[in-house]
Amino acid sequence: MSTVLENWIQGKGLPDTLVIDGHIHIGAWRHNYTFLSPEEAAEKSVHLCDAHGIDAFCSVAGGYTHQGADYRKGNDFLLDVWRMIPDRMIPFLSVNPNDSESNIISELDRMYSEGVRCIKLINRYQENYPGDGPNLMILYEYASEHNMIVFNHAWTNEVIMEISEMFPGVTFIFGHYSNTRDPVLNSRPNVYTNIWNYGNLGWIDRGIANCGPEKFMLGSDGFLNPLSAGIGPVVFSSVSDDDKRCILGLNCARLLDTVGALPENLKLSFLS
Amino acid sequence: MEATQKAPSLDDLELFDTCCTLGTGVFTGVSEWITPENVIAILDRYHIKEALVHDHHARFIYPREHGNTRLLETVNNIKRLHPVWVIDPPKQPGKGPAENLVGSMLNAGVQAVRFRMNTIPSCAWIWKDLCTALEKHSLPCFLDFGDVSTRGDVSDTDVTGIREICLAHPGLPFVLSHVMGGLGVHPAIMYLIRRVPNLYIDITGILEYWRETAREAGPERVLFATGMPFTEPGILISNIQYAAGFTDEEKKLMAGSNLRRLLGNVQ
Repeated sequence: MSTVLENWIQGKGLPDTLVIDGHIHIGAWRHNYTFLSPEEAAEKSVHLCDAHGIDAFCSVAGGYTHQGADYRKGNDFLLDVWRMIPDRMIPFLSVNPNDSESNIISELDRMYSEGVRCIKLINRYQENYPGDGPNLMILYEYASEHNMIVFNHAWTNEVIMEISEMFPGVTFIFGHYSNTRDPVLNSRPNVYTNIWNYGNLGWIDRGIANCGPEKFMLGSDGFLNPLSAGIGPVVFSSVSDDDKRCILGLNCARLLDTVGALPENLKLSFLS
Repeated sequence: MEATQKAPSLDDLELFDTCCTLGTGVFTGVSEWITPENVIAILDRYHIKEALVHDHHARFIYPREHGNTRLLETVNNIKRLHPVWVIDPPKQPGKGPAENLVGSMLNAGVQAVRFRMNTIPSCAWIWKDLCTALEKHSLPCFLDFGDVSTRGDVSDTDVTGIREICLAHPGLPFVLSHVMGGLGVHPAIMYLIRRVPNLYIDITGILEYWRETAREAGPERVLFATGMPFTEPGILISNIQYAAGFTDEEKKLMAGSNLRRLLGNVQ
């Protein structure tokens, strides 16, 4: 019997397990909102994490990342929340690649100087800007020079194969997993994936069997989605508890640590 | 880390799945199907106490009777599985054909039905004879808007039609099923549920909207479902177990008690 599963189904959350949700949006949204203010976001996001047994979450802004909006406002919101809960949230800055090169570099510089070490892209929803378009190539170069993680809702397999080879020192993370990603995950050591998908029966088991547990990270696409939607498939999967713990938090912690983005309190848990 | 607020245990929730599809097929991404050989092991693995089950092919291959008959052979003597037939209104008008169909279903032990709303339009006059026959027995009717999988969508015309059908048969419980298409539910659904007291919603395909329904219209109107094998059961099971803002008793209603109450009313 899996101890991780047993605790979860007993309603205890995930005791003795480092849990990092690697895929969260926070703040205003296009058709809805999660929290009205940074203060409310800080308080209620921690409350939700506590209720599920989640130690920390990786977050990008919400609707301000979408086409037509000023992404800097979303980044401002993100920074405000992060300052209140630095032990619980890992910020992922966002840009719109349709903006000018100088504005994008300027925002990367601003956020880097604030201490942000991770980037989340959503170019598919930004007029489907190509994943290897010129402004994103500049961004990958920036990430390579500054040792930053690049996370994206989706790249095409062709594009991620190209850029992951061109920037071998950059960690690239898919926002969503499906088995169409297996060839990339199996051939590129610097490409990983968040799990969140409305997957079918056994989809996560097959993914782990095909690609290895080290490639997968918990992600719920909260806070519009419930956090449990990401945890459920992992705890019920048929893999070992060691593998579940890797996916629930250890894999993400390891990657965040390589760019200096893992909060100190979690580093202690991680190293222990 | 340990949760700071304990959620109810799964076994305390006594899960009753309203949507489990039995049978095999070919569908992109789906490589594990639910068969007579593995169904009990799957229910056990996910701590599902009971399930309403229907045949995969009965939802989209004619004659539906083939799938419905195969279903009865599969669930024969397995008390945890409750067969659901997928049926269309008889083309011949009048009470007789509809009552015969309902009678044969009840004789076979079928206590719930699934209507394929994207096959037969939601015109009240088409459904009148069948719903009148079903209403005498209060059988729960699932209004299934899904495609081959459990993804589906509802149109403006559907919304109007559902309202007319449900209000014309107040003694018949109707359950919206597979009304989520990936980007959300039709904005009229909540208006409909608030105005039609015998309308419920199952949570197949829905991560968040069911909570809004439960808050706005009451947890009595929400029915748990996994949608397996098209959806990994752990997603929606954990979703309801750890849902924020509901008491354990409310979660228990949605997890299974609501459906047991509806089936208990079948005459």
